Amino acid sequence: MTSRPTVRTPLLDVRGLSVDYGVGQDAVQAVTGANLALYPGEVTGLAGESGSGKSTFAYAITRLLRAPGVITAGSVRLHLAAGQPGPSSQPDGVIDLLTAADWQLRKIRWSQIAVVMQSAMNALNPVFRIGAQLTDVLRTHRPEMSRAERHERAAELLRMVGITPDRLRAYPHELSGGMRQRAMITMALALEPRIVIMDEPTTALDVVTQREILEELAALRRRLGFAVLFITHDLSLLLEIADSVSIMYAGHIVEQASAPELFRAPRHPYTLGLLGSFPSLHGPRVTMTGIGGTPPDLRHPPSGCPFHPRCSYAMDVCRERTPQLRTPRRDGTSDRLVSCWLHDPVATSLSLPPALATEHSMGGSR
Amino acid sequence: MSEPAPALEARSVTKHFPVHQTGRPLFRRGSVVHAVDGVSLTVPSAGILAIVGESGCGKSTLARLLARVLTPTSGEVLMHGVPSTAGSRRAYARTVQMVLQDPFASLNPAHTVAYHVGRPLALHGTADHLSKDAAIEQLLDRVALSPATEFAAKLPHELSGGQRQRVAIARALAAQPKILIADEPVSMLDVSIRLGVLNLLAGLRDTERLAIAYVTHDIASARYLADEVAVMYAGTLVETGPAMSVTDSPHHPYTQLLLAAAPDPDRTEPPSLQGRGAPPSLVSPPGGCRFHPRCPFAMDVCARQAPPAFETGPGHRSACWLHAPQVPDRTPTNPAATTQDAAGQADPAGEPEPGTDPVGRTATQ
Repeated sequence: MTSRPTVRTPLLDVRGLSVDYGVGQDAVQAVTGANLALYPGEVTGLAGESGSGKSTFAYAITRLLRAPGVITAGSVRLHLAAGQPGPSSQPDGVIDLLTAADWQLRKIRWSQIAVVMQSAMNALNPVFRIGAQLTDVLRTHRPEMSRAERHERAAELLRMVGITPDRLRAYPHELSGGMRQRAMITMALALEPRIVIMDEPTTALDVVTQREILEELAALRRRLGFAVLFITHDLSLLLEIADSVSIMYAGHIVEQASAPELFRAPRHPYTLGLLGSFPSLHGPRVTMTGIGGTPPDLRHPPSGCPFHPRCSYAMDVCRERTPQLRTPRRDGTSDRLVSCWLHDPVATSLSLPPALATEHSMGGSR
Repeated sequence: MSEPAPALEARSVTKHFPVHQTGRPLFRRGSVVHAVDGVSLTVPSAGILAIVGESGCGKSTLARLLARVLTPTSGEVLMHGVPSTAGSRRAYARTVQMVLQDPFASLNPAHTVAYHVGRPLALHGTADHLSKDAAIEQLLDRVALSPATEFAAKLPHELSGGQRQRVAIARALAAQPKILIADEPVSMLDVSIRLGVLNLLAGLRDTERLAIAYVTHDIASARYLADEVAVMYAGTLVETGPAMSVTDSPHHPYTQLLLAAAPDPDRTEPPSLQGRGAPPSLVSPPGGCRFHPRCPFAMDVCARQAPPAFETGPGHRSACWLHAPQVPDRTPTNPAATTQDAAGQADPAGEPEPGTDPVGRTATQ
């Protein structure tokens, strides 16, 4: 865990981001008022089930969202590195990606924010060699580099993830799934960006390959110091590798906390249920139940809290009003957040279910 | 293991698929994919056997062999002690049914739930004493799709992934099988509803004494659900035993690797992987033990001779020369493990000390 200084400036600050699919009456709210911050050198995790809006979130903050997706509200403020000749119009080196012009985005994309997509099979062009696809980035963003320099840099990038440079001549289908995903990661790191967004980067891989790639990623991150937004449905993996974790459900971020806090002392009933959906590799075998019901259809979202139809602690207020993301009242001083009426700071008379009131001593220290 | 004849038994089952390699003359004979090689295992009656392995290890091929969808190249499959080829294909299917991985692909989008579940009822004639509608409702109730009448009229696109998989299970149950072969039944489902389907399978074992072969890549879910676990690597069986025993004290180096790589939030520091790399080509698999090119403990004998399954505990077997009662030559050949330390530590292999971490125990630097 990274020790946090009192005041931290986020690299990327997402505030109140809302994304709709479609417009007018039929619009589906895929992401609703999401806040998220990325800090230098940290891994921020975003976990959720399929259809929870986590990939839409990634597309929206990088302005890669395609119609019928529409960003309806929010800001994505990128803090440019000091002294860096950035495309910012503001003196403090902050730029809102949601209002940035195309030429500004062109400069920021890949050099500041790179993306590793879910399926390396589809993200690589099958008719171009790996080398051509790697040097393409350099040719566009570093026009001053010579052909030989580009080739040398591409070879160096592949060596970084343990692929021999002779693979530059290979086509994507000649590489294994793990090697393709490694090639995608090196491509993202080609310009040494400060932020790497990874959307299910290891989901299609076997566990051993997944572990090797995560190790390589951790080593690269230590060396290059980039921030990672790691998006996955696999909470058990995320808790192992992330510094802080946000849980997304039906387009809402329902809980935000450091990984150990979230694991040892979950506050949101959904987080609790999700943690109870991953059988453990240790200890006695206990019957687990997962979460009853099914994720909501976002075309007809439930009223109030989106989780209330599946929540075993649901109260009347949950059906009527949507809770806000705020500090749970029993964690007054910590900076963890949860959106659940059970933890409402003013409802002091409400007693918490024991499972959602676990003490956590390791984290939460300011 | 139950004493009466196990529900299903594979006796050194081998399946080779012919291939034509690129760049070689067309119709070049003899090239085969060794998908499954000499696998012997049993599915206990009224028990769950989990077949665990990475993609390409042959676990789905093995499942298909057990279901008699494929015919083994050599070896045989016995169902309740009787060779699977004894009766007709349909008679076999009446006893052994499959549930496939992808419920989005295994259900016909043009047909209702009632059609999917009713079809095997008609084909196998298993609902003679009931009206077909009543039988369908009963089946849907068994997989907890209620209200059954409402679900029966739905089309697959109106169902969630978990509900679809329940329909697929109900369809398998319609033939009144004694044995269910579930090939990755939850890997396409959302995490929060996976356990519901796994618990349903566990319930079928407990209340209806169904024998289940559960094929998965997720060793944690195998530990959760199964009574017995069989770990496969590159077409061969490397370790079998009671689920808790295999996952708590894995004996085979590959099982240790698999467990070390599995996500585990309880872990306080990153795991150390022993035996990095990728599985070999199954067209020309390595001689001897198929894991030996990656194995941190590889010895001379490993490259020469494939290890048989050695008993390493009650009902626990590991196909690894480390666990042989006596091996002619134990000189390690793999440079990754040539230190005396590794050879010495791996030596008392027959009974690994309980409580020690078998992966950490051999950390060499």
